[in-house]
Amino acid sequence: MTAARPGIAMLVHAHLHRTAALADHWCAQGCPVAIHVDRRVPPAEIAALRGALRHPELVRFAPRHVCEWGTFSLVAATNGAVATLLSAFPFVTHVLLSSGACLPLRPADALAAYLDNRPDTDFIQSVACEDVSWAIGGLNEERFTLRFPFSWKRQRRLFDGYVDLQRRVGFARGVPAEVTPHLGSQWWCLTRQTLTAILNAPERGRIDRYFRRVWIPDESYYQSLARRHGRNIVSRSLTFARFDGDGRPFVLYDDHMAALRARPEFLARKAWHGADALFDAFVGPEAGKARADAQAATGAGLAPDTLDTRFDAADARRRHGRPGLYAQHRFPRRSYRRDRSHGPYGILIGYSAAFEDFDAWYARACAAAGATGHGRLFHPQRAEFESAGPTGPGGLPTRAGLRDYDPRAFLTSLLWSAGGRPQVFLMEMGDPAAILDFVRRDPNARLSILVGAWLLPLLASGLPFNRLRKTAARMQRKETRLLHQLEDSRVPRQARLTAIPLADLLAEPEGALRAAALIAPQDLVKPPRLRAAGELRAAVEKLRNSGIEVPSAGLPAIDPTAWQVSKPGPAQSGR
Amino acid sequence: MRRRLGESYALRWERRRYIARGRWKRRELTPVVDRASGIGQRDILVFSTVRNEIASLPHFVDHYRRIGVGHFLFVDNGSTDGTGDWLASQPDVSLWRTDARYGASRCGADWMNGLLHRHGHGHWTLTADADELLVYPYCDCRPLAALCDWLDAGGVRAMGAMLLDLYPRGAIDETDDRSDILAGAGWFDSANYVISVNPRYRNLWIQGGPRMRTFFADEPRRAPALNKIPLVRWDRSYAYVASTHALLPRGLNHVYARDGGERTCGVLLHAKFTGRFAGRARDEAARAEHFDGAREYRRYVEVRAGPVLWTPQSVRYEGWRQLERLGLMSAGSWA
Repeated sequence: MTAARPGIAMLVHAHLHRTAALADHWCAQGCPVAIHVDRRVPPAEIAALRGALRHPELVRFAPRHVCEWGTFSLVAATNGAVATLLSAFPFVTHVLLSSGACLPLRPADALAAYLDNRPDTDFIQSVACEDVSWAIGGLNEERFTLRFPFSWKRQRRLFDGYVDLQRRVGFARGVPAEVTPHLGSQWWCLTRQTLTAILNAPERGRIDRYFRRVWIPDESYYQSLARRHGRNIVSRSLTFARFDGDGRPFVLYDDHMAALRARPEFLARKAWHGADALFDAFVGPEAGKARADAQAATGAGLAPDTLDTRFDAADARRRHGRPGLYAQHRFPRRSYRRDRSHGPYGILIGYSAAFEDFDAWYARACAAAGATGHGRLFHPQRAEFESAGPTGPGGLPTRAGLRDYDPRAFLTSLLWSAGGRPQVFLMEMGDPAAILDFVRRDPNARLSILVGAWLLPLLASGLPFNRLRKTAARMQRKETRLLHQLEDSRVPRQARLTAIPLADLLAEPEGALRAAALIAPQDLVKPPRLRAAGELRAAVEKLRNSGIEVPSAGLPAIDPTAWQVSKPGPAQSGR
Repeated sequence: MRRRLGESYALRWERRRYIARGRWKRRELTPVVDRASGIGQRDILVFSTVRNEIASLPHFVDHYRRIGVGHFLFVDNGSTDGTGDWLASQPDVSLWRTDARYGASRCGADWMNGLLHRHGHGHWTLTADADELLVYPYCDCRPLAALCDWLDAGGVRAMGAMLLDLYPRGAIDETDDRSDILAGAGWFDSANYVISVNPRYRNLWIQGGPRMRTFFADEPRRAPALNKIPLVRWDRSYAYVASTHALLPRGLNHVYARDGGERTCGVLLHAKFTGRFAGRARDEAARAEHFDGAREYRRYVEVRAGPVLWTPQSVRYEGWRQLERLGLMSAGSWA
């Protein structure tokens, strides 16, 4: 068995000083290089490249094409470079396709030894596209059956429109019998036999003509033909390359160095051309020394998937973002399903009115439930945060005017600052309720409402009947409006809502406490006392006779014994 | 449909007007040192209008040199403290001088548009005031060019960077050095911002922070805008509308994600509240050349000298990673 001698086919179009260094790097280790330089590169730069090469005897320049992403020109360029390499260096057994942004992570010897141990093997990621959709968010099988006369980068609308039109009229080109559509990474390492078979196949002219009209043929030409001509295919690339959700390659920078050293692949892309430290560390005569240190560093527990984790996180950030964050870079459309708050929160409506010395119990219950218990955040005068001080968490204002300027931003900022710790706050009838429009369709919200609780302090206040009557009318209007707001049927409510009628509250005050959103305690130690309101029924009767209906009292007009069982739903209470 | 067509037609004329104004107002600028011919093809350029900023300029220029800015283009609007001389002596600075009225040039926007039109075409350009320092994802280990190349690769033409007001621990008057503020003496509001979409230009309108809660508590609508789009791959057909809050064509203002994802963005650290602030506020209030008759500065003077912006909930600035964690900035899909 002859020892494997890999040769490098390199496609470059810019930053040729990196190309020279890379070519030197491979040549110094005995690997010949065939370089394809984009035809648009000015002659002066190519002359400089030729001049900079330290091993020109091992370098050949392939016939030049103007390369445009997504077109056959890249395949033509690659074919030219491969043919040049194979004919100029008969000892080459494998060709590794790379670019001016592919960093060699391991020495050529290691690569040769690896290939030696797996004779006659082609390393090319090649995924049957009828089975798996490999491409990210793009076309798969349709790459092989539609026509693509327009540039995706420059004529996107025409491109998309034409694809759409072909789909609608059911257009499909025939795929040649020799081709079984496969897709995969461009960066492969194929054996001389396979490449020769591909390049010298009698039907190549026809195949090439077909692939000229295939979309991104450099991700399918070799991938499909290797399946036909290769003997032993390992569907995996020797080059580490990752793409983001938009199909753009992730770029490698100096700060990726440690993670790159832990990668098991032989090459990695796509290195930023300005990443001096990366090129210094991996390319050139000093690379070997750095690598020895690196092996030691690798032992220091750096997981090889560090880069994957990082890229996955970046992709998730771009696609889904952090829920509940409203910022200069993330501002979801209103009523969009990701338009919601960051963490759980509960709103207790009517509780501080219904109970005497509620605060002490409330603080204890919040502490027991691991929640932050704010006061009346939407108090008409000022936001009552849990912590005293001139501002709330994150610098939120306590001034009502600033809070009510954008109550939604106020609440979502508070929840974002809380970082997922449950937040609970109190609300009373008469607090600005605009925020409930957002709350009701926010799945993180839990509301507990003691319907009609405002009657208790009002009746206990000893106000002259005339003023009491007016206040009752006003409060009842507000409550009706609020309950309507919560039950608005146009947009489905996502918040969880518990409404407890006054009758139930009077019958079993502990039940109301147990229903308190998010902080519902298992056992009630020292529960707060219900506010004594005198003879409620008589008072409500008197109000009614003076012309003020108080449906939220939940007291039926006729049956005096029914008030434990009657539960007017929130929808009925608004009349 | 007809309304939308009408609106985009009106915006096109508005843009042409800004460009024309910029070119016209460029006549007010007298070149002091014009080294613009030495600008390299791939250089990143900084554009700035300054007035009596000798105290902060060395720090400003140093910050941007360190992240790899190739050339600075300054307009000196009637400085009397040696700003002009210092700038003229810097090898990578081109300087124009004018004594024309700042307000009449729409707070410098016309001068900036004029210079951008003439020198910015095809470059990545950064338009910032002398007290605004850009931080962006990975700015501690990657040069600005890496970011610009990444944006280029994604076909992105502009990047947002909101103003983040930094303030000292004590009273404003007691801090006298801007570099202190960045070296760890700077504090900020981490989650006190309100955002809405400006329907005309489709940019985000961001307000909040210490200035809104301290100086504009009674009329929050008038609180200063914090949204900025300072980093743009400039083209002759672009124009800033007012300051760097919005651009035309308005597609450039779409620097935020609306689908719930996050876009790459930076933050402009705003080291405005230092010891020199009180004096400056008095000068500017008297001069009344700033936006809305320098209303902002008048408010500062009214509120009294030496206010304390700091609160127990303020957060000390530590670096870009902290800003990203707090959600004020995002690396987007850049990793």
